[in-house]
Amino acid sequence: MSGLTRFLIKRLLAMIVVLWAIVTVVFFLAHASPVDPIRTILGQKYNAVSAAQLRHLFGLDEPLWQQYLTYLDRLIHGNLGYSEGAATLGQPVWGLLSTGVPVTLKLGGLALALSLLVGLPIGLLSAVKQNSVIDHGSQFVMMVLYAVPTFILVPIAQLVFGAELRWLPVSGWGDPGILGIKEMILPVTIYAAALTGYFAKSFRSFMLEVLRQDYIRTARAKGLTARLILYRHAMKNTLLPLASIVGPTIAFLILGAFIIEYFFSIPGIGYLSISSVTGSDYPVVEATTVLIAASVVIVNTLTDIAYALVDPRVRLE
Amino acid sequence: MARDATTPPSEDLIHVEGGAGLGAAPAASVGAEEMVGSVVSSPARAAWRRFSVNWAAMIGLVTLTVIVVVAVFAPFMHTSSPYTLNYGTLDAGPSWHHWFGTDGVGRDQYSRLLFGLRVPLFVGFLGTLITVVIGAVLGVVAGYAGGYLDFVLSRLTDLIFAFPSFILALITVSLFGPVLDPYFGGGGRVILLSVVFALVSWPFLMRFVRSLTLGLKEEQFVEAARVCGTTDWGIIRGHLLPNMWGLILVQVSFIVIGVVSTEAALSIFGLGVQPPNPDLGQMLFDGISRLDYNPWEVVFPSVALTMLILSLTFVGDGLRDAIDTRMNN
Repeated sequence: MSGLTRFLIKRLLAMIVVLWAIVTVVFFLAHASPVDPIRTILGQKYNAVSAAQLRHLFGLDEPLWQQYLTYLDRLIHGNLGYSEGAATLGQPVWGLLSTGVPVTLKLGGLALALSLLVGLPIGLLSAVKQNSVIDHGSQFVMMVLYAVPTFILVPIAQLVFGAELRWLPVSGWGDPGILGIKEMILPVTIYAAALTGYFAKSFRSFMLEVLRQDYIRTARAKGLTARLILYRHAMKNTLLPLASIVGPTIAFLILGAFIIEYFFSIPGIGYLSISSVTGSDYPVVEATTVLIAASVVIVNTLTDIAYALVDPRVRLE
Repeated sequence: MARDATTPPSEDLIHVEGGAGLGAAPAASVGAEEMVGSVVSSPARAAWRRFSVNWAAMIGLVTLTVIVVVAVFAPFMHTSSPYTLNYGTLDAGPSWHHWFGTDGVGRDQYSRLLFGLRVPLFVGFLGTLITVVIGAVLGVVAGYAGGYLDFVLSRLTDLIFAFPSFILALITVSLFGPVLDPYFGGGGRVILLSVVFALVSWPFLMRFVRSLTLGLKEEQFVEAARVCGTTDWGIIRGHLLPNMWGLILVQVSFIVIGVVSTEAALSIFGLGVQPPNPDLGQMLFDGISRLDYNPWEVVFPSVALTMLILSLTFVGDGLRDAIDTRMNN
């Protein structure tokens, strides 16, 4: 078996083990909860007979290991069960997820694109003008953008652009026409802010590293213009380290939507996840957690594999 | 592993750590201060000298010290009770009586802010302490022992590392927080938060310490100690850990930031310290719902949280530049 095949099989097996472990931990955590979901659903109308009926309907009267096996069996067949939350009682979890996922992906995709478009040129400029006023100034701003948490930027932006200036709506998503675009501006920009800082800082150091290399000196010595050296020789060699940070960032995007979606009432996966946790809707908690965990693990595995394809040294370990 | 392509081999760490400031670093990266200093200076003193000429780091350190002092001495500095409701002054702006104004039920925001600082600081401290103990012990053991034990510990670390930590914290706190609330005078949840954050954040440190240990244990001074008959525990305590503490400290400053931010984020989702106990994140969350009545309720908590996190960031960056000198050249 070649090194690459062995590497791929190992990574895929590890991924399956991790996914199984996550499913199991989440399942038992949710079922160890002291909060009784049936009591939450019924509320004032709670009585022993209807509680027992509901418990039977959801399969909660079976022994725990039986429930676990049933859950695993259903999960493998793509059946995620039915919501136990008060607002969405009885709706298939699959349906809730499939409306949430595109929203989160669009939000994250736009934020990623914006942060790359802004962050990389700033990082490049900083590296080319190393230790100048431009470099220090932009690096300071980027560090602040990177360090100030989203949950502080959001209320301040809502206060300034929403409550005071009344330029932009502070909540909503997916309305038709101009309103829909205006709704996207604040969440996407704030989401992109931290990423922009991260990309600008990282790209600066990648670029500085490359510019120190001998082949750049050679290119300069043989009389190539600065522009040609930068775009043809230097840029190309920053792509590999850049790819190694953009990959995990995509995983972070799937995860990082919580605060943005929650504050701006955007009906994505993060919003669904938070509202199911606070509303004791365990099937939805399990489904969203497994979905998010799975995407993180899959993205990380794909990043590792892509890295192994490009850089053969990685496979040897 | 992917990270090997971006980080220098671990031997680099040791030379730098052992000889930081002793002339091992290239002259360009060493401040002028260092050149005029005494010929012999300890790595710690040299690191402090590099730290103290970094103005951003020093501003961060001073701010952080002020915040900690204010939080510790809150009982002597507050102007009225952080719990007393006053329906005469709801959602008031800053005034002589209420320096930072009042919230939606008329509580004094200045006093609540002083006490509210204690939660993120305490959770940050305790959570990080547990993280460091677990991460450092397992990392040193795995790296030093090697073999089967290393394999088992490393796979366990990989597993927890892959788990989305924020979600795990979210679920655990939402499920078990209400059970622990009555204990320790409302502090049960604070301890739960610290433990949960530690349980999800140690794998990162464990990997770091393990890789440091792997590099260090091949060094000649460790070999020499072993030849002299030093026990394994003696080597770990006397030769490995003293060479690692600086680099661990740098990591610690970033772990604290993670813990403090996560605590605030959970408070914002209503899962942190429960009302009426004051907590910065909770104050920010309450303030957002009062945005139309009194914007100051958002301004002061967010300024305080920003100062806390930025000062930690500047101190962390300063520590890294001062201790981890391979970044400088």
